[in-house]
Amino acid sequence: MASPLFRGVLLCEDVEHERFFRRLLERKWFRRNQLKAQRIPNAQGAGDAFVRSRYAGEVQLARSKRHENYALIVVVDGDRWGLAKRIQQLDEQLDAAGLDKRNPSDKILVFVPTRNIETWKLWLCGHRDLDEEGDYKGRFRKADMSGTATARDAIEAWFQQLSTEDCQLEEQTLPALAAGRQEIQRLKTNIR
Amino acid sequence: MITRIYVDNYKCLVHFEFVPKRLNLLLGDNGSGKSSLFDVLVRLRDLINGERATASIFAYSKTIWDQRDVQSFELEIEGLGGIFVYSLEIQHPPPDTPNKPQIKSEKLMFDARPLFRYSDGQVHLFKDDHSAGAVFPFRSDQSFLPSLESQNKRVRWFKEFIAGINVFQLNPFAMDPFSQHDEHFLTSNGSNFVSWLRYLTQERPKEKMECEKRLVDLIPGFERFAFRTLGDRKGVFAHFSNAGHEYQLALSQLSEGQRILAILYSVLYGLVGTASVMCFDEPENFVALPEVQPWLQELRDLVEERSGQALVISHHPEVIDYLAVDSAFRFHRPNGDLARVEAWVPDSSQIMKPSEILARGG
Repeated sequence: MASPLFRGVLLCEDVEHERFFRRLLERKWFRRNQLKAQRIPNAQGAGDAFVRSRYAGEVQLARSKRHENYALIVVVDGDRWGLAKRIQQLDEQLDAAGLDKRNPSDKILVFVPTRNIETWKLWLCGHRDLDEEGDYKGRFRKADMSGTATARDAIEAWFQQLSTEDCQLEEQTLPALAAGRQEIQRLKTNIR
Repeated sequence: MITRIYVDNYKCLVHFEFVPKRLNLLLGDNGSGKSSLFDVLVRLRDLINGERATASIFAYSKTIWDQRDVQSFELEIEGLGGIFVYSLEIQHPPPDTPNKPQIKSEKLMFDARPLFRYSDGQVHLFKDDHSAGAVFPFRSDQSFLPSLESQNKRVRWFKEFIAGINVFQLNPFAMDPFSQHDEHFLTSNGSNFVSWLRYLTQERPKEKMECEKRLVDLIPGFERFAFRTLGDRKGVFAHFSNAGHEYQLALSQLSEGQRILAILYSVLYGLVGTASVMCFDEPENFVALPEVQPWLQELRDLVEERSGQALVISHHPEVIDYLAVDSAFRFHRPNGDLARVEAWVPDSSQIMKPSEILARGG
């Protein structure tokens, strides 16, 4: 009998993405250490360009394994572009490669932390005075050093039940995070 | 963790300084000094633990073309809220004489204040407040530190830290499938893996179970390790269950890669948190490609979570491409003589993988 857990590729920008999403996804959906990370190999490069450059190839590979419990997880920061534009940029990569756009049967999940992953970590740790335009990297670094908001806490918070009020606030304030939660739901429906 | 290593007049390491971080990837051509650095750590550990005499540890280790007869080593270690500095000078005899290497001087400081000193044939001890204590003569063919039953918690901490330096160059062909007794340490080539596994089973069963759980994911059909007594020895057998068939394989019947995976994960679960520094010389040897990154992920997670330190030597693209973004250091010998090391950051303007950049000469 096939294991009900996935293996696959985590195509992301950098180590921070890798740490957050690997730990998040291995909590429930992926076999431990069975999420192979593909991220920019140096600290200074343009991570979003790296993700776009690898996207079509990884989609092709994931589709070739559509009958297995294999998933492709894509993470690219929204930066100043935002969720919709980032999805469009990725779609353009598929188009340029002659591939179909992502469809609901693809086990391909796209997360667009906006403005970046630090915004999500702070929000999950209870900081509510945020939006998708502000850059909170420095603020998260300080909170992390003081122990008031850590990546580990953020992951724990992801699995806590949101109140209706918080849920609505999240959809209004950080729609890319709300979309990310929906994206994860797709794993549940795709387990074979 | 070790924050600085200085070596002078040791093999190809002359006036050589290395400032490691928590997780380190050591790159470089063959013969560029990477393994020599690991040798230094092993030799200092053996001297400070008293496992071998100075002569056997440092014989024939001087830089061949260097005329100086004194060899120097320094370790800086962060711990107990301060910085330990350990310094050692080895006096080598003139060539073609029957004399053996001797300790010229040895010193341990904490935040620039003395904890222990040996010079001119005399041991100098210091009290907790660093004021001078007993002075007495001592032989120069071994360190006094192993004999120092100090009440000073800093000296004790330093010795435990040094004892916790582990260097692995694993070799599946060297693994003895039998064991006569438990051993709480694992040899650098993994030859006593069965004795080490017996120790884990007796003293650290939780860690052994964690290791087995990981192997269940990695080796199809694997269930657990169990021991069987054979005369005065014990052998370890891997229990498998595949398609309704249950069977056992002796250690020697596992593939080389499976044996290495068993050691690599037993090291992660059995040593991280207790070992101070873990050094791996080409850990990916014999391991199938898909298994390389998962082990590195686990190593990095454990090093970060438990404040350990790891140094990894590798020429393998999978290792290089995964770890180069953390802390990569490149060893080189520009004129074929002295080894040098510098932080290596892959050129961000290049779209090639770090391993491909290296393959083209960097």
